[in-house]
Amino acid sequence: MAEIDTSSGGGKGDGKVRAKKQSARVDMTPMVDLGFLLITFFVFTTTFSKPNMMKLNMPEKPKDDEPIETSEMKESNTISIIMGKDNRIFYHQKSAKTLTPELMIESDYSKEGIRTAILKGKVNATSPEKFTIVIKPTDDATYKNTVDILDEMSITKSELYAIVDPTTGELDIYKQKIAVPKK
Amino acid sequence: MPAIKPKRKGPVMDMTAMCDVAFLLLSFFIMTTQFKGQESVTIDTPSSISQTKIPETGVATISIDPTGKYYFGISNAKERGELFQRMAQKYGVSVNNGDLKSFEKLADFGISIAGLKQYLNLPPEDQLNVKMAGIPNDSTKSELGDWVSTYLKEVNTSAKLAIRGDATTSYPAVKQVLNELGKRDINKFQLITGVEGAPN
Repeated sequence: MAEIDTSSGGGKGDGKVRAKKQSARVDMTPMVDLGFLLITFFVFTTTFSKPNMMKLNMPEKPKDDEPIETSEMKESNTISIIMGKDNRIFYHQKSAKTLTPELMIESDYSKEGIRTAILKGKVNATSPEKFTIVIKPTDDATYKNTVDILDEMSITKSELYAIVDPTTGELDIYKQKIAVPKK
Repeated sequence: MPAIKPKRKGPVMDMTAMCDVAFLLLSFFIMTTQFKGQESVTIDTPSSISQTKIPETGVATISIDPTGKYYFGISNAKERGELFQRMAQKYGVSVNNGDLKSFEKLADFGISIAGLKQYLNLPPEDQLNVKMAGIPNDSTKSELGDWVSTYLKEVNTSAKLAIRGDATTSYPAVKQVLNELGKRDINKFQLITGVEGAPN
């Protein structure tokens, strides 16, 4: 294949002494080496894993002249998740008025932590189809915490959730809680 | 009578086929590779189990670095010029063709519009050394909000808005973006995340 036929036809039997013609064979090995080297380079530099994206729809800001629609929610039918400093996380199922430090439970971002809490809340909810998760990131939380919790929403298949700011009452209790190092 | 010695010859393998395959693959990889524009900041995104892939075109990206600086970039190079012209008009900055050409090469930038012109006039090798201060995004004056709303409402109405934050970015920096864009009736966001396996 990689040789060029250089033998002239019909030169037999004319008695002349000829130098033996060598076929011009090209050694392809270095070329193959180079080819594969370049392939390796391109394979490694190509980014195969294109980043994913997560949807996040925020509620529309109410206009000043429009009345704000409110719907009654039972506290037992919601769970509030408060994300804090150093990847710490708390949750409670009480209203802001009845919340006490004892009722705000510390959890973590693992499967046994917040995910179990959400699922448990869902099972015990009075009307599970309206079970709402209120996500309250404090100013100490990181972007990763937010993404992690939004991820938990899709893992637990919770469709009713909202991101809101924590109330002052919750922040006070959070500050008490965060001052104590995690056990 | 001397014994006839067979000519010694090492085993020769025909490399041509292998060479063909190698270069075929090589040309495939070269043609499918998309070169990324120079990004002005490295951001390490958190990961999620989401399976939706980000589209190739029609995406405006707000990047937020760990210190809370904002960067903005759009994926379609052709639309960059138009966007820049509109923004320059709004802010009363004069632009010439050279500025537009230079701007079209920017994958993203993190600089206020007043400083942008000066930045664009720098030679490309000096542009790399400039420390970007981030696009201003305060509740009183949000240039970032103007960039985004100009793009989404005037240049490409079907574009998507993506937020690319670093894992260690603090939440208030993200909240500030959501607030400013909420004021401009932009409420749909895509959060860019890395890939993570679904939990069992």
